[in-house]
Amino acid sequence: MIFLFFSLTGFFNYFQSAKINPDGSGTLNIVYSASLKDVEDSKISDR
Amino acid sequence: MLKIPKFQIGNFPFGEKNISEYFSSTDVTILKSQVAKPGDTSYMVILDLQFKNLNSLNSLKAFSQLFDINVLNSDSGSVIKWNVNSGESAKLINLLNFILNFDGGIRSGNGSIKNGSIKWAKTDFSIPSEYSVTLNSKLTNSQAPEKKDPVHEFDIDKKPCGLFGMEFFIISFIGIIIIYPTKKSKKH
Repeated sequence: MIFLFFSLTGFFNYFQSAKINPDGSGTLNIVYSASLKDVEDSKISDR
Repeated sequence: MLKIPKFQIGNFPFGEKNISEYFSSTDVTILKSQVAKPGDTSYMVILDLQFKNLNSLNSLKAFSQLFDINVLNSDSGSVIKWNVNSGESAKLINLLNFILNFDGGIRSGNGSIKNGSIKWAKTDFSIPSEYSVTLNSKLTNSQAPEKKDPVHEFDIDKKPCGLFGMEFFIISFIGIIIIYPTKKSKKH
């Protein structure tokens, strides 16, 4: 299965998909993106 | 080689080292981790995680104060409730899309259901949201508390109804009324 995610607007987008097996285990696909030109300094922490 | 500045937004880091810290635990393993730069000023993180059970996702540092996942098992199927909080970390997100797939099928939920999957989208993070889904079957190893279905509320292994004492008294009283005159008439 292929998931496509496009970050068109906004500065921080988040996409998540999970597949759950009958025993409760599974996989989680996460895509998150940020556009730095829209980000205010106060919302970013340097690591 | 792609040069990515080390930064993070809320609990979502864009550096490889911090991604491991925020997205793995004893029951959650990172299968794939990739940081990409699709545009001049945009950065993207792609992750594949493997979890032992849904509740273990609550232990991730990235999800603290943001998501809260609860699984409740009933005889008719497991119920998954996924709360998105409205804290500072959530308010940083502009758009959230979430798809959940279950091969066993989905019975109901408050999202868009299609072909064994359910999809939710959220854009307003000023208010908390609860996304819920009921699966067609029970997850066998979800470590979720059991909930009896309403139809089983009067199982025979449950304690007797509290009205039994009153019923016993009424039946005994009626019995005495019927039997006593009969015995009296026999004496005569």
